[in-house]
Amino acid sequence: MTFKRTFKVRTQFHQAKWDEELIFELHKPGERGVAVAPVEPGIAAEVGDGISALPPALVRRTPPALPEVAQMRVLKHYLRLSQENLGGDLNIDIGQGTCTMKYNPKINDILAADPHLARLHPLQDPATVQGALAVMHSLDLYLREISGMDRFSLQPSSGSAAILNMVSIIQAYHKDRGTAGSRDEMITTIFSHPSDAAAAAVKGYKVVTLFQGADGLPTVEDLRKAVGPRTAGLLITNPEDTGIFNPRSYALDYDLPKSIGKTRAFYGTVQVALKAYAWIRALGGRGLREVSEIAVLNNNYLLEKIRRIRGASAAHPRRIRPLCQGPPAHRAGALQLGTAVPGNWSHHGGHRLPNGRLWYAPVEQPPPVHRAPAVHGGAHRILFQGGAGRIRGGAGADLRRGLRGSPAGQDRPPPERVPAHRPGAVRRSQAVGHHLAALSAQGLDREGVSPRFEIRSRTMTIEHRPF
Amino acid sequence: MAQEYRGHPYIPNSVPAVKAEMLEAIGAGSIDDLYADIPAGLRFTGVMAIPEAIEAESELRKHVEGILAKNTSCAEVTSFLGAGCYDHYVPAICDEVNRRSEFLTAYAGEPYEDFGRFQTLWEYQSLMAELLDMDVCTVPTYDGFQAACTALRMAGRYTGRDLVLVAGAIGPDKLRAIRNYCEPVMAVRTLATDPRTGLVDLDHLGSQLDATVAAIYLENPGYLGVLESRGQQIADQAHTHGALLVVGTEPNSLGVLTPPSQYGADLVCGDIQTLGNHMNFGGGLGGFIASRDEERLIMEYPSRLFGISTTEAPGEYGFGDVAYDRTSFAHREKGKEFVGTASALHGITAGVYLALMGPAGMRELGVHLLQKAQYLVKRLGEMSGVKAPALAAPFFKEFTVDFNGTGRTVADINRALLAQGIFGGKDLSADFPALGQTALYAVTEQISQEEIDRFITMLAATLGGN
Repeated sequence: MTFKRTFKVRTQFHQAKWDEELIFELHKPGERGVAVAPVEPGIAAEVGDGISALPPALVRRTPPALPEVAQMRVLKHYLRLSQENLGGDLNIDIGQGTCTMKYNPKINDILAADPHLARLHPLQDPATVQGALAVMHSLDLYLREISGMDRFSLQPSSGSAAILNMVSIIQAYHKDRGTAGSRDEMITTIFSHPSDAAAAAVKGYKVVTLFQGADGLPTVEDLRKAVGPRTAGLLITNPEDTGIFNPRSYALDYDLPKSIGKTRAFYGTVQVALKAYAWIRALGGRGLREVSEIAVLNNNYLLEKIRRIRGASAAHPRRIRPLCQGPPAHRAGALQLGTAVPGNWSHHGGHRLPNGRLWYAPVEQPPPVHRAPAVHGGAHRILFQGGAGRIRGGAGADLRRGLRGSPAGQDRPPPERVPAHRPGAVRRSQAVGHHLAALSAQGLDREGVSPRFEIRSRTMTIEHRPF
Repeated sequence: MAQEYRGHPYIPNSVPAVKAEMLEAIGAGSIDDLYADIPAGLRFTGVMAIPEAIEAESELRKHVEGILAKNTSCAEVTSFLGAGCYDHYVPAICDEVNRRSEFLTAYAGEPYEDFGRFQTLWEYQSLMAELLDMDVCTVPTYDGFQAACTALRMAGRYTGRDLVLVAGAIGPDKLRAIRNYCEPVMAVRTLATDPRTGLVDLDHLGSQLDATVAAIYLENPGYLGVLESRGQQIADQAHTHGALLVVGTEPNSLGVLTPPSQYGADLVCGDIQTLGNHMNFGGGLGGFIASRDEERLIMEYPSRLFGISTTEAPGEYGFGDVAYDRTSFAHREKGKEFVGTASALHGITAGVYLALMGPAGMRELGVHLLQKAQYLVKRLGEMSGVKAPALAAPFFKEFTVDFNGTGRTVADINRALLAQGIFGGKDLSADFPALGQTALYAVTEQISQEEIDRFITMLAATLGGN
């Protein structure tokens, strides 16, 4: 038998699509997913039913209207829903600049699930958590080496939480120097993550945003103009709040009198710190460099492929030499693919690639596009299983409220509404992420370059928008 | 001598031949060419002081497991630690779903390719709403600290006021987080507590309420384990003065305890670690905020909210963002607070947990914890010099134990217990000096009667050995 495979045979990729019910619809009175052990008879004999000891005002009178579902049905339900996702293990989860999805080695998940980490309580005696402290201490040192900074904190819960921490430290610094009252401005750029601006505002700062100059980047002149006696900072610093080293063992040092205190419970997401530790140890110094280099190579390679799609263009052609010879078709944003990509690529307004280059669309970027009126939230109170309960939308707001314009965005015009079923609008299958380039090309052929687009998902038509 | 570098198993395209092919396709001579725009002075040319790669997975596993083996997990001992993180049982199905690649490695997709995640998180919101008897619940925030911080800022914006009153004893770390987050725009004032109960002094509360108060923040159960049964009175006082009542609660108590919405809470917040998430040395947390279905309140949420919708196909469900325009994703510093990656995976897991437990499971768990805590209190109360609970108020699964009458410090006692494979309760003597040598003890359903009895025996031996 001879197979001729000079092209991809299966072009009709389709993601799993279950017609899965809501968990509430699986409700069958009396069913249960797990059994809870009763207390030992000896305990019950001593203390009775437990509830009688409580004042009546504290006792719940009607049970919560949670569904009653047998274990296997719960499992199937969630596994079906899991299949309706394309995570980084299955597909290219399009990188979003600050939020690029790298490979997550499975061994790291196995290590993080070890009971010697998973079942560790944060308030245990330090003598019983020397392994966890050792990991955090080593990771701290590695991250200092990688970042070139003198101190590192693993406490923030996420990148945005870290931004809030940095702003908090800047504020504490100025309080300590007695300049907190006069320095009330935080400078950021339009290219940075929205949390750079938003977290500064949370801390009460007036946000000064630098926009791009003629060459598409913020200029030193603009920065000079922005910096002054009211400037509190530019969001760069690094604290340490957890492990300090001594030759014999690791201890927890809480004696930091000028600390901002706490911003989250305990010591951060330690299971993630362990994965970072394992990643660094697996790659070593050479591998860490290699992984960055290959990421940049991949990025440029992808960019080149996309640029060959008719109608696609890239901002900053000058800056992505040697890749982009010749002028682009237009400069309507980072990568205007018309259909499938802008929502991802222009996410947050601008992105710094690992190689320091920027892809962004600060001026010509379309305004936020709202969901079509067909999509509405609302406190859905749908009867199920003979009216035994109700389904409430966790989000009770009618989506259309959002279309009236943001209370926070009074100064901008209300966003344009786009009809849900505009004749001739591009309809997408679920395969968008998979055949990105091909679909983009199709979309462009049919509709031309449109910053707003509709995506048909299952049979729901929604509008995509940057987020 | 170091081996020649041959590419790493984690890095596709690092094989020299593939690299060369890709470089040729983009018209670059070398990787260095791709960095041509970066000034030489900004480029790192040295060698990082990072240990050599452990490329073989077998060796990496041995190395990391060797480090982790230095930890003593709660599975190996009897632990009475709580104070915001609890060793409750995690059903196998929670782990199974939590570790599914499709959820674990999904990031910022949209309903067209991550439809399942939208449905799962919408269901999580709805399951939480049922447990809390509220209409609206967020996708998870970072942790219960952040949930409290944001709920209070929401109350500030909603009321247009700038003062928060903290009713009852609160954990010092959480208070620090609230101050850090709120004080740029709001004052945070703690109120006098009744030293006998640890509960808020209602007279003092009444004297502090005026038209500047945005919210009363009440924890129920409180940090010291005490239950407040005057919730409705406190809510009425708040509402009389146009303030909101924000209640922090323990969700796994709500199978048996009255949900705060039923005694007048306007915003309810807390942590979902106890709903099927492992402790992870404190990394297993996730926060929730819930409210009634009131547009003005909903428009103050900073995080994403998912809604259900109809679709083109009759009878089919769709899911999407609700009022996205609130967020800093949409409007940067003009959005509500800030939003970014949080702990959605913990929310997915908590949803699985609630679906498995159902109303009966949550009730049985609540009863179990009440009985077990009451049993431990009873046994402790039989010991001379020990008073449990130290505070005269009802409790759920956590309570104070007063060792002042034993002449021993909590640190001493805990050291002796540790040698017997027992983690004693959190030492409160530094944070709550008025309580003297008092510890905070918590039980979970994982602690057996036999373990409690053994603990009592060991404690008696320790105290007897004065």
